Amino acid sequence: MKARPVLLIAVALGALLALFALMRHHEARAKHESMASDARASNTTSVSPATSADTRSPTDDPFPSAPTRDLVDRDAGAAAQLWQARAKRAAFARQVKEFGPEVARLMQLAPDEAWDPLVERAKDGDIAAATAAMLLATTCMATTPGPKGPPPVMSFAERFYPTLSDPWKAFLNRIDENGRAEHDERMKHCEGVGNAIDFAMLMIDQFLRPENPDVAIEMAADNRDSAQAIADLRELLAASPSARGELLLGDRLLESNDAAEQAEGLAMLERLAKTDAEAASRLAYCVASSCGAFRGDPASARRWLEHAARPGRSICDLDARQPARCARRSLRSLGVGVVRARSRPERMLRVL
Amino acid sequence: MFELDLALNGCFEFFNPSYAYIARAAKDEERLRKRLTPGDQNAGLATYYSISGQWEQKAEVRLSCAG
Repeated sequence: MKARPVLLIAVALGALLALFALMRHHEARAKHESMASDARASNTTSVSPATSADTRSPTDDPFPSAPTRDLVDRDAGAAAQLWQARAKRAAFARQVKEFGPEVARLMQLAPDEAWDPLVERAKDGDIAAATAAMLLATTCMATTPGPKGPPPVMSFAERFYPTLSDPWKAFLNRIDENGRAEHDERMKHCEGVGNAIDFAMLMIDQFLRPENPDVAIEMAADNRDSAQAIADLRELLAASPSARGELLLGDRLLESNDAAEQAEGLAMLERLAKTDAEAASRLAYCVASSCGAFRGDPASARRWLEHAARPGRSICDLDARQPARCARRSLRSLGVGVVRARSRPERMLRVL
Repeated sequence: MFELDLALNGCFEFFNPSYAYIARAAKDEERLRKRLTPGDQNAGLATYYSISGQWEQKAEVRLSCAG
């Protein structure tokens, strides 16, 4: 495949995911505000978002047990089998949460069965279906078999994770083998799945239009001219308030050379970080190291680093020797780079 | 350190489950263990036990793998 189509697909998928995340963010925030408002009105204790109904899977299928570390040490094959059943169930629950039950159900079907209903929904404006279809198209596109080389002289775990203990290498190898077999089987059903490039163009045309306020905000924030970006974001926010816009504006202000703008940006991010994990993560990174002209104070980063650890990554500011490096690694793994991601619509439009 | 627990629970999987997250978490944990003295490990475990219930549960709810 040539580099340009690959880039186009990657950018389109990134943009769709970013736009989808934005919409989810809006929904979550609206729900959070609505719940807070209801709680105030009824004078009852507010419900934690962590226990709200939208975080539960609508299916009643139980989760299979996860393998214990002890089982991995004793029986890698059994542990791998157990893990795969568990992981599939967890992935489905996550798809239900992110995409809704109907799109999640379609994602369980063979690609050639899922494609048409997903595309139909996407054309009706369902961005979750569009994102799922794009994932499907890119997966099927990558199945063209290349020339078969000689068998590898060592397992992938031995090659890439040589320091792991033998049972853990065996565990990873079994997951890899089983996963490949399942993937190959699934990819036999890619007949009829559309061309990822055509679909990317269609979705870009449908969803990423400059008159969409979310897209306009992303485009304004992507401007390398900070003064212009700040001015444009202020104007857009005045016309249409948006938490995402505030986050991007706070980020640009914090990076500014102007002390007053830095203070304004810091205050803005601190306010947002109380309820917005992405703002907390960005703030944690900037306080732990630096962002643009803003110089952080690693000693005071702990509060935001703990927010950054919520999705389950290690709280590595406990590594007192290299807190900033540790934080960067942790935040990168959280996808915090989204704030400065390369998948901005404007970059995508430049590519086009 | 509960990253590996979450990975074993399948919490990081979304599209096609793969070994990637487990491998990385296992490697991180192994590297951390080797770098720390027994005293550091005990102190780290004490911290881990004191916060893991709180953060691990939140992460499991957030990642839809609390079942």
